[in-house]
Amino acid sequence: MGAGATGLRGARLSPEERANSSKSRAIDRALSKDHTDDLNRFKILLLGTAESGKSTIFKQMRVLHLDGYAKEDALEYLSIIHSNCMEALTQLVDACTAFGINHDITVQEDVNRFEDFKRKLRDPEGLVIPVVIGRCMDRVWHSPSLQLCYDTRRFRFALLDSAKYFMDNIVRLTEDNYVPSIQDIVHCRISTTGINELAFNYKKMDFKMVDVGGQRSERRKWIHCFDNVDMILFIVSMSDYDQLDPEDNKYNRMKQSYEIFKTIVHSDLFRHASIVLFLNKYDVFVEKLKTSPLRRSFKNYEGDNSEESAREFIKKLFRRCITDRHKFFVFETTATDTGNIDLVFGSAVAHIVNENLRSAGLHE
Amino acid sequence: MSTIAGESSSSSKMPENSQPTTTEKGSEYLEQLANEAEELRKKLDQERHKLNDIPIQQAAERLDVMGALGVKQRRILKGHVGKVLCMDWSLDKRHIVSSSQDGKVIVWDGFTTNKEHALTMPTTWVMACAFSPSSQMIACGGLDNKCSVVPLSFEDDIIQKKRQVATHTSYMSCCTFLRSDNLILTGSGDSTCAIWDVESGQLIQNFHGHTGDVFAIDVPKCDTGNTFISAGADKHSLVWDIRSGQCVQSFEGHEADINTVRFHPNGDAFATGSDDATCRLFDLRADRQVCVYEKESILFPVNGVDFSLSGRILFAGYGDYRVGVWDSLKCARHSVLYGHENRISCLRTSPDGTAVCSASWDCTIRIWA
Repeated sequence: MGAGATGLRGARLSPEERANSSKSRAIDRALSKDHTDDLNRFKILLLGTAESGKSTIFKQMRVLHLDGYAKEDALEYLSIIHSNCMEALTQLVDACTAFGINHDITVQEDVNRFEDFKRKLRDPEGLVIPVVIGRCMDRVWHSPSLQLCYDTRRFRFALLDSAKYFMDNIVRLTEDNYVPSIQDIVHCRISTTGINELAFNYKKMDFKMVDVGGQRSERRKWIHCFDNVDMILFIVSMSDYDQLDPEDNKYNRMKQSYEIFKTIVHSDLFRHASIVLFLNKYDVFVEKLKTSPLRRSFKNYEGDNSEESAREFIKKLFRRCITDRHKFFVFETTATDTGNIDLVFGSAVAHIVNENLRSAGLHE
Repeated sequence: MSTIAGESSSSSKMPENSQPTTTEKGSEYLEQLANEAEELRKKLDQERHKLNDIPIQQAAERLDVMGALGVKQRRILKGHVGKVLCMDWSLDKRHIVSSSQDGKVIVWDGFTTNKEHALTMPTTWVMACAFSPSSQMIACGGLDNKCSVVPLSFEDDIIQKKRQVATHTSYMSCCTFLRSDNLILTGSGDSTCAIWDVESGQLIQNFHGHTGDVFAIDVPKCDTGNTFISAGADKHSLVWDIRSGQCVQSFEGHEADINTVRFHPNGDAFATGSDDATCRLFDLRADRQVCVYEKESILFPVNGVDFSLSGRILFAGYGDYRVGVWDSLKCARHSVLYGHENRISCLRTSPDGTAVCSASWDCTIRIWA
């Protein structure tokens, strides 16, 4: 029975009923228009394990395809950036202690000053590092003991991915009147909660990107909400190949990532979606291979420890899950590199558009 | 407890030269506690069993078999273009609110099938919605982790008056107003339920106890009660005391996620529906499960359950697109309602019991009477 059904009262409607029916039809038209707009929007779902770089990719999209971050928006990241700096130096100082690396007396004084500042912190939420502590942190970072620890042991303890970036820039980051730059924002790490959406226009196409990284609950109960997406952008941290899950030390993080990827690509919900795999943190992966061979974590890997061979092995590992090869594209990325993400995202979209045209018989 | 913490009774029997290590003592003590807990569990089961004097089917044998109900599809509400995820009746027995995957929340006149309001929520995935007791406002939320309240009026842009009331740390799966327009009860993927003040958005009471996502909540129809039930991914249904925030009863039995829960009209029992393809009836006074509504031919999840006004009939919406009509006392399926073309996501009986409304992934809402 349609809007304003007349079955109960014959054809005669009172003025009030006629008005209600008219309003209902107007709502129908608005809903129909919204639906058409939605169909013309290319929807991307961002998936991947924790700390794979989903939010960094998301931030890059805002930088590349929207207006980036205005001063007010950028200032919201100030305390997060300062918190990241504190976390990075804490991890490094603790690692020195754990590995028995001793500091010079002057450095130890600065370490004590830093620890003292940490202890007296009232409100970690609105943290702002004073200039004097920033200088102190800079001296600690540039000390021979910390540099030795970073250069030789950085892959042997939990360390923020952007630790070097933040510590190299600590003096600038703690200056008075400091406003976070786009690169500072891209490098900063904050745990995503909930869901983030971004609508943007690229090459005359409307896009909507959704990051669901903050939903850490039963995926099976809400993933069906995204069965209408055009593309799954799955992010894998390549540097996780030798990492164990912090919550369960039995599981390799890349193997976990592979299992999630497998369930997603085999799900009936996404049978119409294109799958794009970003093998992220490629720069860290290349560095890591020098000290941590891939074979140590993947016993079935038979190649040498070269960058190319290791990369191809990981690509093949994930490609094994895919049945429809025409809808699968894989790229190596460094999410903090805006230029790299611009290039790779453009390439991924071009591939998918061409593939869709080809399958529609409109492209040779 | 027979021994003091840390002093295992067996340690006194050991020779002096073989004192147990701290870890041995600890694990021995834990084992002892586990055994003690198991003993208590057995005692509880025995006590429960004493109350199990007669199976419900046997007690219902003297009742007449229900006659033909003549329930048919009377209205179909079309307008959503995404899967309808939730719906709720207004207490005026006429209006319905529904929310869908496309981010639209629509208020319908169930009698004429007219749409009275269509709201576009800022976050698209609206998993839950509810009418306030006065029918003057609606609450909704979902994957944005929030619950928002929108006052209904026929002014131009009512979405501008939307107020954010609740914030969870994971998605909001269900919500309902609590006895008035001033309090709202929410359930979330963060394993908690919470009561919020609508006006200030302040958290009034938090309910911790589930070990998995909460998928469903319900409040008894009678205004005097101070309890509610919740159920979810941990396969347990918990009864809560609203004032103390404590769980006062726990019911198990389901073998998979519990998706839906509804109080019996008398407030002394409740029904649940689960991914294990069964509905179950639990009695609060008997403190146990009293009935399972299942058939070998039913393999699909139950996503919505509700009782008729008398409580004799239990309606269940399934993943196989059908509504099952069960005799709640004889524990037998009476009939099946066909019409939906995709899985049923939500099912509700109207406040006066004259109709049943089902929402589905086929983008429609159907009214049966």
